[in-house]
Amino acid sequence: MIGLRDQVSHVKMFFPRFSAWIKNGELISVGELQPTPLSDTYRVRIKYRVGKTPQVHVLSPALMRPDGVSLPHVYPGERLCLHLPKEWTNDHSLGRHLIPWIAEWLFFYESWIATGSWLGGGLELHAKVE
Amino acid sequence: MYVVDSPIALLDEILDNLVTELQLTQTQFGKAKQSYEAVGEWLNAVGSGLDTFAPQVYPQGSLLIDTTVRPLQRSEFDLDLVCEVDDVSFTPDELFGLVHDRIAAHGRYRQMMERRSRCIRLNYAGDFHLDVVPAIGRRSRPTGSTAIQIPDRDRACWHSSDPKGYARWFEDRTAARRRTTTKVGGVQPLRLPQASSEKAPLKVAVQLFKRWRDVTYTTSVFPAPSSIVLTTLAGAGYMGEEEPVSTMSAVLRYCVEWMANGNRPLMNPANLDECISEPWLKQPDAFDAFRHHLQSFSHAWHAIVTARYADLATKLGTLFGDPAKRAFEKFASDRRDARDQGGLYVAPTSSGMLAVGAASAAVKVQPHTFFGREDEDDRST
Repeated sequence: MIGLRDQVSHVKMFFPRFSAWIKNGELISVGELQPTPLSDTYRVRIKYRVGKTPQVHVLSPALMRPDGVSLPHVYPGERLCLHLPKEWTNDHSLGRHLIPWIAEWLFFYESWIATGSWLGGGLELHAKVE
Repeated sequence: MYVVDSPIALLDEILDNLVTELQLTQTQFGKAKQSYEAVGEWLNAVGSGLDTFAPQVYPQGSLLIDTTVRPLQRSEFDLDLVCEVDDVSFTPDELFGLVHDRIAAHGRYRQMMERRSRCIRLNYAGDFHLDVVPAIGRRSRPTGSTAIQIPDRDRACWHSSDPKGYARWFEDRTAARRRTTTKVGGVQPLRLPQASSEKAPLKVAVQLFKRWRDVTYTTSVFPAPSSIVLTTLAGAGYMGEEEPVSTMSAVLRYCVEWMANGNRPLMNPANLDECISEPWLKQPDAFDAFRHHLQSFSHAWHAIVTARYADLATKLGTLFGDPAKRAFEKFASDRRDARDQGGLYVAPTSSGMLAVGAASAAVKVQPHTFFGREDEDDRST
């Protein structure tokens, strides 16, 4: 199990430009990601408690919905959906695992804006998951 | 795929994907090669009636210089092959008739053939048109010259040309070193089309230029400029730029300037008797229309090289049509494939930029599955 203080170290070790701190037993981390040289620069925030799924939100810029279509791979409130439930455990690292997935999500989000298709693979929530 | 560490590198990869969508695929090339060789053998065969004149069969035009672009409205590519014979005593009609009759003597070709002004067209429906161009060597040409004459049925005279000479000029402009071809009898082998990322950037720019022309002129009352005009202007404007984006910018700058200097003769660089801008001299309005379209292209191109990723697909689609969207889809799906194969990384020092292939301090994107929907929650919080 990776505790919160070690998670802070992981974040800073893998992504030195991210800030990370612990408040009331919750880890909060904020940083910027730009997935391609022509992408927007996104400010993202992670909130994490051990034993829970990390909560990831894009603080800026606002996420777009061309023609009012629902965003793919987000939960209500625009919480990013980056993995299947079983793909996150207490042994997973915010730095090694999660932040790269956020950068990747942002890339496929922009590709979805550009082409109308989500090209990163994945499953819909109502699909049967073992 | 490129190492996409700059805006230009990203755009270059998208443009390469785009050109791959536009040109002959490897499969189509294979079919074209088969048909080209079969026609060549039929023309060369002992007893063909042509065989006594030592025919030389070789490609010309975009097939020769590897700048093929799929026509907009139909699926068939236009491919040219020249059948050049030795004897200089033919009249235009006699030579045309000789080649025409030989093709018509073949049961299958007779069903597919169509007599045109300067060639016999074989329709391989759904794949390509193979235009067989009869030719003889130009009278008193020096040894080693590749200058030819082609029968023009409409005008009942010879039309001078030098397709090999043009290809030599163009290849020199691409700065690619190429051995001068020596005359050989028989069927000259076709060269495989290059994967676009290994292709000379001038060729990529010519393909984009031709595609833009096709898209633009679908709604124009004026005739479109010929491919040889576009290719010649592009070749003249090229100054050795090393990748497609700056090549296209340089070509556009040159063309806008050329057009601003007014309607005037543009000669074939391989055949100084031939004015390839004749249609504009005869129809100045068409020249003005092209100048206007080119200005729009130039502005749109400038907007593209400064566009955000999410806007690029729309902007490129306006210039080049649907293949632009597929080029983006490929860019994204290549990165998904890289992730699935464990080859996608994130660069922590450049704000999380995705990269294919590891670099120092890069963090691998670990296997995972995107999930979830905006209107449902997973209740795992």
